Amino acid sequence: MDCEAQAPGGAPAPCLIADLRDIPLHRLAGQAADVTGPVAAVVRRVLEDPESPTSVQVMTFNSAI
Amino acid sequence: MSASISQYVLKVHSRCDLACDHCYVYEHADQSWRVKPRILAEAAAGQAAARIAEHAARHRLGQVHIVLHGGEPLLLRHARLRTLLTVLRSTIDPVTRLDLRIHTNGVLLDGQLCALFDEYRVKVGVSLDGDRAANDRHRRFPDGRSSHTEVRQALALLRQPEHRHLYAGILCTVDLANDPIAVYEALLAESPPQVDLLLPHATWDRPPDRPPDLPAPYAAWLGAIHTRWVADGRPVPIRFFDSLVSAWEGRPSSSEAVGLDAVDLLVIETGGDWEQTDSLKTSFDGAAATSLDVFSHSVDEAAAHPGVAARRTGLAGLCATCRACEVVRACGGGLYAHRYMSQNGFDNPSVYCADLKALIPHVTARPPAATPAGHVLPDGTLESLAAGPGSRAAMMSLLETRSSVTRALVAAVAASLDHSGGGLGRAAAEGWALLSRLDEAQPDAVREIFSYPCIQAWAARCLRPPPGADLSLDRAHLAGIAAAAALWAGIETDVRVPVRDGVIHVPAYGAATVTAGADRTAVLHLSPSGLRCDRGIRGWQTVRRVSTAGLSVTVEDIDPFRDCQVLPATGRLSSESWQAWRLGLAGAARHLASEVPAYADALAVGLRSVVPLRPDPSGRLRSGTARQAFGAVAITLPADAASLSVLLLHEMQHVKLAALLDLVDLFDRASERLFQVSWRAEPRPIDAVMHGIYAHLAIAELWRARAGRAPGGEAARHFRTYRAWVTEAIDDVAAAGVLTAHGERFVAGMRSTVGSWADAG
Repeated sequence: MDCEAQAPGGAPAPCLIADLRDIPLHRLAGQAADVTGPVAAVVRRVLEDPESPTSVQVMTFNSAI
Repeated sequence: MSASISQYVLKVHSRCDLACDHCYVYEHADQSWRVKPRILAEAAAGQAAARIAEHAARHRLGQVHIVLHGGEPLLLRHARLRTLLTVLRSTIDPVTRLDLRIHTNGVLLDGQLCALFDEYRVKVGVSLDGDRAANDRHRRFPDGRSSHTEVRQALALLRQPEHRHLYAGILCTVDLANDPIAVYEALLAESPPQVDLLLPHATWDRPPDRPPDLPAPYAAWLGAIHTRWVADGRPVPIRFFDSLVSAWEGRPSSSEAVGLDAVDLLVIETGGDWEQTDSLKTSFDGAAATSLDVFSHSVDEAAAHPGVAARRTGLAGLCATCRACEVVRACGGGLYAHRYMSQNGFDNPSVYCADLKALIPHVTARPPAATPAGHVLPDGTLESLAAGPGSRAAMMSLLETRSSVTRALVAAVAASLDHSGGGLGRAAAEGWALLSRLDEAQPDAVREIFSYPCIQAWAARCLRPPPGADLSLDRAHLAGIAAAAALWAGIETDVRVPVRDGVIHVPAYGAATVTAGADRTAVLHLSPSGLRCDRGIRGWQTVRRVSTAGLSVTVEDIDPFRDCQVLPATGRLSSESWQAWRLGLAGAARHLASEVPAYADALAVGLRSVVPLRPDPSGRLRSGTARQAFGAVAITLPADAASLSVLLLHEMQHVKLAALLDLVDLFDRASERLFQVSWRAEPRPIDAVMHGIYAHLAIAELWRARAGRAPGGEAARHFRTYRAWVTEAIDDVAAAGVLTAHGERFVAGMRSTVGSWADAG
């Protein structure tokens, strides 16, 4: 089958992955520790394990760091 | 099975060498410290470790976290700490990854203790309330002396290159009397890898100090720091702010102070008692107690304690005021202890409610320019993929998004390097430096090497290491990746690479046996003409490739990170096996090009590597796909190319759908609904059903094509079987109410393909 011919041309789909292709690697590494930043978001998105909700790598205890 | 607990606070000493007047352990409502043993007894430590290990095994936890705490944990002194750390590591390490930390006032920290913590991989957090004036407001010795000098000496020790990797960060308790900017600058001056700002513990019975004319003074104080921190470019993570944003955006807060995360924490006191979280000590005497202990009660039993269970109920566990509040998903009602009022317990907003309500809009308002734009799948891409094969353009869109994924994963690995020295640490650091330079000077080289699935598999393993992983060795593979990019770019340079079991690996190029130095590395000399090693190379093995009928793939039988599909991979193929694979893949590619050309086109774009699997002893065909290795399929070699083409087609559907699911949500990921499907005996969750439909859609298409060439035979029967499976499952999924809008489009696309099939045979 010719998929391109059959595709009905639906709307574009915004993705949950930031476009990081043009950001230098060293700058991405500098942003990686920012848990609200795009690098951490991608890592969380692609490495999250739905069967392991305890996979958060950070201690939550309030009185320690 | 009961709820799992992955975080533990182990009280190792119940007294302190400081007399901070804001300490919740000694100065607040709970006075149980007076009757607790001074130090954690060896028997209690051993039993605590055994309980944690038992629980981790039972719940298959990938990691547990333990914080050594007090009182002041360093009062346990070097010898007892060594004994304790030995018990913890020897008991828990064989079961799961153990993240060990200690939180201290820093006064007793010295080089000998740092060496001990290095030996046992213990990260060190330190309390500091700001500059000298701020710190001395509360954090004094019993005789009134300042502790500021001693604490700063401890932080200077942790900043030294040989100890830097031990430095976890600084904990600072807020005091309105201090200048927030002076506090912020004093904390930053200590170069911490992380900072947290704690609201001073208080309850409705014992409210915090606040000027009568200011409605939300803590919000103003923290807001001043936040404004400066953002202006500075967020030079260090500040957990309180990051947690609020994370919770606001629907992710775990990773902090018990805010957010609606279920409690995942237990405290073990020096006598071996299980207790609830420590901050409860601020509310009333005995508030944290459970009447359970490690000698008689498992973690499961402690986790089932009503006080712990009550904090796993999310929004439903909050008071009516909080449930109706517009910022509740960020604050989560605030720290549990801060809600306490003797009249009605914890059924109240936080005593800091006004501050949190004022602060959250400030913290969660992010400048749009701070976030790079997200990828967008162009018009028709979702429908093209849903139809089955996906066009070349759709496949290219997936490849472009995977480029961002790989860059993020590699950058995250680089950010996790601990710069702890040694040959492997040096290889990782130098490799990263080279890779960063190539990324700017020769971006095509980096893009090409990053397109190999084993690179993603490597990064995933470094970021989520399995138990027993040699993380230093794995991270040092950054140098091998840099070497591959340098070879592709054709530049001349030296690269120190790790030696793994006597072998150096250059992904996409090959591997060779060398004699490792004592530091487990060797230096490669790269040039446009090839590669030499300072220790000599024996038996260079080139990465094998098959290029035929539009298909060009590596056959990965040596990359150390190829074995990520659960099913075991082969070692290096013999000449005979390699010949069989080569002929098999060429034959399979011809089958697909002839029978399902659109699928063959998609395969040609998206399939990068094939990982040969060991044959199943029972003779069954096996194949697999790892979500973290886009572009790779793992397969046992069947006897004929027609069967291999079925396996390739089936696995490539999983590759495509896994990549798509990283980009868009097709269904409610939290749905626990199970579906009965025709191709498996046991009920399946929604993600497995979607994968099954998508794979069987392609296989049905293949058998349909074969049936068209040989009507009435086995192919037609196979086609009808797969078509029935797919049709039935599509109906079930579409009616279940678990699909997102994208998911409805995707399922409609698959249904459209099924509807286009005339009967065969």
